[in-house]
Amino acid sequence: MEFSLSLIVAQMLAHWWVTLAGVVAGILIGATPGLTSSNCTAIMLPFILALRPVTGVIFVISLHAGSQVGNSFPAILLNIPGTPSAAVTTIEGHALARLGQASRALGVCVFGSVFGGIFGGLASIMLIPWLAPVALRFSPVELTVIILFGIVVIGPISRGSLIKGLVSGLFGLLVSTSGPDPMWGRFRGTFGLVELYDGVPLVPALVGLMAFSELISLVFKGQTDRPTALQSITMKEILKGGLDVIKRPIESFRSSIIGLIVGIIPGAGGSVASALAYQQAAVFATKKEAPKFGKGSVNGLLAADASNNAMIGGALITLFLLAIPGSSTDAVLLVALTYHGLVMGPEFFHMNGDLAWAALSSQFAAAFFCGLCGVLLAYVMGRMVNVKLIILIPFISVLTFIGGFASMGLTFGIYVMLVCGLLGYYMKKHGYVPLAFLMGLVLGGQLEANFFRGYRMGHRSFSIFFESPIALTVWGLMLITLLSPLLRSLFAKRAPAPTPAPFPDAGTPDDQADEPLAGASGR
Amino acid sequence: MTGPGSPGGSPPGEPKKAIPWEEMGIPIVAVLYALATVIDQSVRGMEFKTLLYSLVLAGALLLAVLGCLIQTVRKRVAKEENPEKLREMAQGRKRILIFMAWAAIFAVAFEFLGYVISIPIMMYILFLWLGMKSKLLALAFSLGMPLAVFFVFDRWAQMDLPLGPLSRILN
Repeated sequence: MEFSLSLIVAQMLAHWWVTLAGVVAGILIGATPGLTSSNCTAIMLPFILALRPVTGVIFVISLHAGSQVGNSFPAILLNIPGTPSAAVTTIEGHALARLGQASRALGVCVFGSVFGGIFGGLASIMLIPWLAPVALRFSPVELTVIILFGIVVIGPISRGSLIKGLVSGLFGLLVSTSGPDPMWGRFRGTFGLVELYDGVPLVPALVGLMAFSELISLVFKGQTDRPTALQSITMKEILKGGLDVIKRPIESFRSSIIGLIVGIIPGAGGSVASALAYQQAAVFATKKEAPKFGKGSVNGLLAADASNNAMIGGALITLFLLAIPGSSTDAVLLVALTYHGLVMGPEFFHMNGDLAWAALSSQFAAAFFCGLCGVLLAYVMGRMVNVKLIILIPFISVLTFIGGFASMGLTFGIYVMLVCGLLGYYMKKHGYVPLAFLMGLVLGGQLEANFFRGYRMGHRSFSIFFESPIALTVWGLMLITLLSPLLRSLFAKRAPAPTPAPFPDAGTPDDQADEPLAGASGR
Repeated sequence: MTGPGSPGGSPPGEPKKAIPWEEMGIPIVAVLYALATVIDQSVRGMEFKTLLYSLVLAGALLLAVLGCLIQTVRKRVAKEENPEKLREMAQGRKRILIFMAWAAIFAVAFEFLGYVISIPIMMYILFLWLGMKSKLLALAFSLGMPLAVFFVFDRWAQMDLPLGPLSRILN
């Protein structure tokens, strides 16, 4: 299906209510510390699966967009990031709040997110038709190498530890071999359990890894109360923040471009996008603006929030064309679409063009509603950020149980959810990468199928995986990623400069609770 | 080079440092799973071509785990000696154990008693354990939740959730 402006407008009008619901849910979720779009999308997965595919996809994208707006609210008002990607927002946002400009900061975040969302939507729509024919040239050989690259690269990008990322990804790939093998249909790794004949169920595993693990983390912290926000918010000042965004077009575009590019990289996510955009805003700051960084810089705040929402467009490009999720929320989206029998990849636009364009065009409607609802909800956020964990934890627990049960209709799903929850918690606690594990689990079947198809195409020779220019390029990138720790240490020995602060992790919330524990690598 | 996470011992007066063996928990679980998978397939008489992919993955995982082991052994992190922090950590672990026990009981209750009975009971217990002061509010939330689940998931999303002894009445 070809690109058409009228189709985009029609899709936006047809699904406006889904977009509105998703944005409102996303803002409320993002504004609640302890909840992220990925763990809430995981919790709501059974609900999303019950929707039609196009409705479900638009809901998830809108929820993701809304959460990137809402996560700034507690960051500004309470110095607590609503999601990891708002960690940078706390620096400038809360500084502005301490100067009595909380409303203005909220306005900058809301309108900056709107700008980033529109930019990401435009870019994804313009780039995908250009990239899709390129992606069609991908045979099973290239797909094998790309999937492998996606799994391998997530570790160093999202948490900085290559080895731990590899262990996580390979573990996920191994668990994905449970069930019938894609080539000959023989059952393996079932351990005599009939429930595993279809493999490890993805939905309960996802709910456990993303959502239940967070509950365990919150229970470990034991902090069921939160400080109250003391600022009063005015609509006039919020709108003034919007004017600040309009007066800074260069900063807005630069941050959005950075967010888009980071979104394309698998596993990077909002945390990396916002940190990188903030860093670049500081580098390019004028003499007048530079001293304000760290003390309440509107430029810095804008950079963080515009990049967050532009990232969504970039992540959709990678998801739709290559079936590689750019973030945890996209991993949930991938599971949801796989559940409906839709296969991502180069053929996705030809086979499911209506769904694809509906999803891409929903970003504009989401941006519009983010602005409208963001302004309105920012006004009442003082109460929202005070929802205590003591109330949230039981509700979320019940929802995870329903999520674990619903996809299989068996209690076995709940047990899988609990086991994966524990696994996810310990992985995050000790610096491993649950997202890499999840990607291995979700993409393992495709990797194996493409691998054996490529192997047969090469007449049972492995050299075919090293012949195509695309495959060689990806192998090169993989090698650079694998060798990057060694290269970094070599360069550090030659020129001992102060090491820049590592990017915060992508994906699920970090292990702030595990500060007392020795050995827990932070994000 | 001294400091947390660096190789080498600690100078006198500095906190004691130790190898963070707890970081090897996940790799050990992964290796055990790999072994179990390979043994399970071998015992079932799988053909080599089916077993091959799992063997390759298991081999790659073993190499990665070895790398992880080397990284861990070379690392030294400061042992926590503050009694306050140690107590907090112990309490946190205890809370996790209790929470997981609650979850296990809930899983069994969910299946046999159905969601209408198990959700209010287990939610109320959890609210009280978490320290909710208002028992009335806890009760209200606990009773309201199965209603919400009924309308949203059972009726609207058409999910087949277990009803337990109430299946004859509600079906």
